[in-house]
Amino acid sequence: MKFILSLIVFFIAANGQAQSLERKIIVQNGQFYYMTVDENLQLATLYTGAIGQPIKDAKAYAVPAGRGISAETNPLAWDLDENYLYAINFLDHSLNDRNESIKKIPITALRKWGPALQTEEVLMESIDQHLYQINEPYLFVKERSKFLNHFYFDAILHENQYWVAMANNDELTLWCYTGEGWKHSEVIEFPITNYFNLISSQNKLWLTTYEGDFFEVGLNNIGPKRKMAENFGLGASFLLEDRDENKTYVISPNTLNFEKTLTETLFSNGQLINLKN
Amino acid sequence: MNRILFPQVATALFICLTAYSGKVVAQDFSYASISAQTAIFTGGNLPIRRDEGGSFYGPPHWEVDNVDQVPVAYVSGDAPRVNATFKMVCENVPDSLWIRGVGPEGMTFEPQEVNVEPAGDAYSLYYPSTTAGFAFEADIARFFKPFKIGWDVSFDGGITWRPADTTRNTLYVTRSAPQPEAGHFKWYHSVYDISCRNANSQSTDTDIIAAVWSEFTDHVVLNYADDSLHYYSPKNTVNTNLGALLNAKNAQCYTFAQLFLSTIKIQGVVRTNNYVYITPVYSTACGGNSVNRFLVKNWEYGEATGAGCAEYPYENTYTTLLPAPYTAYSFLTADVTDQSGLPGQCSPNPSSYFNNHQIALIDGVYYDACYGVTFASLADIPFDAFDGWGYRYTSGGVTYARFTDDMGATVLSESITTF
Repeated sequence: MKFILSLIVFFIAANGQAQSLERKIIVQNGQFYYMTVDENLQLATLYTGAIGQPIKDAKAYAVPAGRGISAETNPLAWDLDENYLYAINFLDHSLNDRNESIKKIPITALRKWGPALQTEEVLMESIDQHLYQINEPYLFVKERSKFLNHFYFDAILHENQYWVAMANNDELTLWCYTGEGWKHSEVIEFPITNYFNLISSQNKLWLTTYEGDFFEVGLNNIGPKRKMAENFGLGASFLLEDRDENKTYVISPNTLNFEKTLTETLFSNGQLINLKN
Repeated sequence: MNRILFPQVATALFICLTAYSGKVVAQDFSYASISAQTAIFTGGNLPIRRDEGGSFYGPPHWEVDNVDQVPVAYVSGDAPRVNATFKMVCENVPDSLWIRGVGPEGMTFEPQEVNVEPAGDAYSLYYPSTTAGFAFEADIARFFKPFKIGWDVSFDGGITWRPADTTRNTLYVTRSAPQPEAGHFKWYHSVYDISCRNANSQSTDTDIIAAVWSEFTDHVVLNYADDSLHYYSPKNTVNTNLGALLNAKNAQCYTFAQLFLSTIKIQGVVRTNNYVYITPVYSTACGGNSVNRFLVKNWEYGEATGAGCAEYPYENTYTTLLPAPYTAYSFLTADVTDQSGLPGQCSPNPSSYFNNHQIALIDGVYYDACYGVTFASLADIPFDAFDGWGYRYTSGGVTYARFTDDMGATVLSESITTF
């Protein structure tokens, strides 16, 4: 209960269901992108618009991927590059295969939500969506233990490679898909209480915890705990990755004004994180 | 204050009440001119969410003219506390009179002297919050449908009592304090109802679990309003959480495991690692396809026509697996056909082509609440409940599903979490 309330409830969609902003906002090529998930239907929506236009003018696209909720909810693990949206489709459905959950979806193939687009159609599309790679991190976790306890993960693109960090039973493993196969770190003892985010900045990969601690991570090491931003925690803030300017910000959801542009919001309320050192 | 009414007033009141009742036989009169308007329970009663939308019920718990009254819940060992308002219609009224409540099983709400206050062309009475004379027996779940309180009035300081009205609420008593809400577990009306209805008078964890489970074994699960909760009927449901099941009354397998576990958690029974997600263990078959489908009984195998994969020789093809009205699978070609088999909850032939399924695990026993059956081990499930394993791939807009009836071809994996 405590956790569910701490998710960043973003707005109430037309169907009356609360939707949460999933982890972050990405700015890329002058466009912003963010995702929400309908808590009941579980499907994600990708919002995108120009950073110089009011956020409310963003276009909403149905994403054939999503996530369920549980006592230990993991927000949608998603990222995008110029052409593709990457998402780990962990929505609850009796035909959805978690082993095949890593999806790579052409952005141009996404359809706008509208009366002609049925939820059930998008759900079935998410199930049959061709997988990007088999979810070996998940198979690895299952192999180590049949008990999922504090099971959290995130996945992003870093240095043109697909990275997954997956934690379970106080163990963390970093994974990288190189294009030829998966490589992974040693299993690291890493007590964790809630979900975490991966961040790519410059040539470094960071993991930030729910409590706001930062760790530089890779296949060979995990750095010491660092505090990079004041009063930051994933439960009360979200990240904004400005890939055009190579900057990462922390924003409180309370300061997000849909009537204004994202640029205005950043200028007035964004807290820059220095991830260069 | 134990005031005796003036004889004149008492006489006038008697005439007034008798006449108002419409009955002329004085020996059979009732105080129909005094009627309950509201009743509000307090004293630590538990919050209850509506099945429909999940918002919490609020007071008053009983209100005159309402068809549906608000349910009430307490933890055993607590005593209910209630206040009530009444309307009195009469030309001559006393300054005050006495009211008491008589509940079930000898539970009483002690007499209180209440003032008679003018309210428009009638009078209002307020019975203040009063705790019942004794508490619900500790450590025992109870179910009162209804929990009736007969309200009596007295005009002579409590010497003689006459019935005035009766309030009726459904009242649940949980064995222990419910587990805190978390994830999909919420304190829904039907969770209380199914749990307390079945576990009435039970005390131990074992007895409560067994009693609640009995709701699921006859393939008829009824909500608080005696409406059926359906498992895949029709088959196209996208509902996968408890709230959606209770709201829509039709849902996937996730939800019945959640419902069963919720009815235990609401009694304060603690069992961790209780929610099991089962799916075929990861393996590949011909062409590297994941073996990630299974068929729940019954499916009938005809002639195997699939080419190129001897291990999975049976082939079905489809484009839209479940067309409207969503009551049957639709295959372009089919070596394997769906038959009536294991009935689900309120659903004689539910969906039976799956990647995964959810069951409960309590004290070493696997409870499949969708079908109302138990299993002693994970390994038993395919042999007891499945008719085949399969994989599928898509080509040219057509999905090709390949099956085998060799139940030893693969095994199930399980992922266990705490619901």
